[in-house]
Amino acid sequence: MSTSPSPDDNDSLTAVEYVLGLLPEAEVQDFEARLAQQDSLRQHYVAWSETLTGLTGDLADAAPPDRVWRRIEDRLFAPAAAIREPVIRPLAEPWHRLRGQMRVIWLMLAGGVVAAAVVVLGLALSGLLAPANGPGLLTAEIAAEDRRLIVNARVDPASGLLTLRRVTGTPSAGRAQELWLLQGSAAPVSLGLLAADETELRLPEAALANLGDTVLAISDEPAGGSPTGQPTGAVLALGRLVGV
Amino acid sequence: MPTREQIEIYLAQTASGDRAAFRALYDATSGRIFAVLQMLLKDPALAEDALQDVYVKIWKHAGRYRANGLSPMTWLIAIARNHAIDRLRIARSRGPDRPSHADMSDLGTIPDPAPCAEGQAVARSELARLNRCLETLGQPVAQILRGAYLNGDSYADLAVRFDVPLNTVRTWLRRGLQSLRECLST
Repeated sequence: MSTSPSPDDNDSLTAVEYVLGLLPEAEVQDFEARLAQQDSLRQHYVAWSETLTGLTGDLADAAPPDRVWRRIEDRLFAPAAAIREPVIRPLAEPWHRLRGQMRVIWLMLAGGVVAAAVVVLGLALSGLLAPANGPGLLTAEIAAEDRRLIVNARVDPASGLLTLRRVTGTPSAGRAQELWLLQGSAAPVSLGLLAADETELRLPEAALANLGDTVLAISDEPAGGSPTGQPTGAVLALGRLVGV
Repeated sequence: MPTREQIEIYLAQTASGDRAAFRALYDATSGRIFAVLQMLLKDPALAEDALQDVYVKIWKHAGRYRANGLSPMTWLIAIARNHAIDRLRIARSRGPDRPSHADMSDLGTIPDPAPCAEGQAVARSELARLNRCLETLGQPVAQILRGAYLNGDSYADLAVRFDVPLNTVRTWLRRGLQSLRECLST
């Protein structure tokens, strides 16, 4: 039987494709607009949605770990998140007392203060704990002070490959998280935007010489990243690379 | 096991900001939602992150539940699946292979151990009919539907799996849906 598909058949197929996630992104907006206006299309959409839900009936329920609910509560109901309200900490922070533990400094990097703040940060970080020795792997836990944003980083100095894995925390709606490399007193170098889960990238050649004196920072930027090439938003998290 | 009506009540209360109702909604539904996310995303950490994101969306959009006429679980599952498919698209666009079900048999029927309340009786019989129709129709439509719905397969993934052009997969789906509609309406 090779009859050409009726408009109804087409709607049925498109509705299923939309529900399944097979519809090309370019066509999704059109479909959603039609869905709002065309009753017959909406009927296909509802009927197929309900039918396909049946495919989950064969799945056994999976109890999520308790921590997931706690994170949901924290995100929705915790008092005003420190993650959006960076605190300026005095730079007299006694680094020599850190004993290899990760600590964070909160700085407001904004507008014309950027250059000065970055230089000051650089000066504070240079000459800190001894650089990592040997060619072994380096890791950093890039964490917000309240630990609502944590990204684990791993660097293989031999290949220059930086692997990032998000543990918790996501960008706010309409914003992006941009990753920066801070070495010595140099200006921050953008390593690009953080992906939702894992990011892998190659560090710039010039950075490989100085991995022992490297801090990774995440800043809050507009969607698409900083328009200026330097951090424009608040620093959300910091982490220092240390030898494993 | 909560009935459809109970879940709708939780949703309505959640929409008006009732945190206890939101917690009850989570307790009642997160098991199924998490199972769906695990099937789609595979990685346990990704599935946990997604579950968090999905329920944050549910809290924010509970007021929209009635807008398109879906049943409550279908609406919740749609939010979860759309979120997961977005994540899969992001991962796909960065290139590296992601694990996929080479062996489709583990997407087959697994008996649900939880006992059902009366309110679920209708859903049970519809589920039985869907499975029966998919059995009757056989491949490839059953594989296409399960692959896309449970495994997040794209047309490209399916074309590779069946070793046919992408348009062939689409044609099979179109024809299969016609037959499926007929079977389901009998």
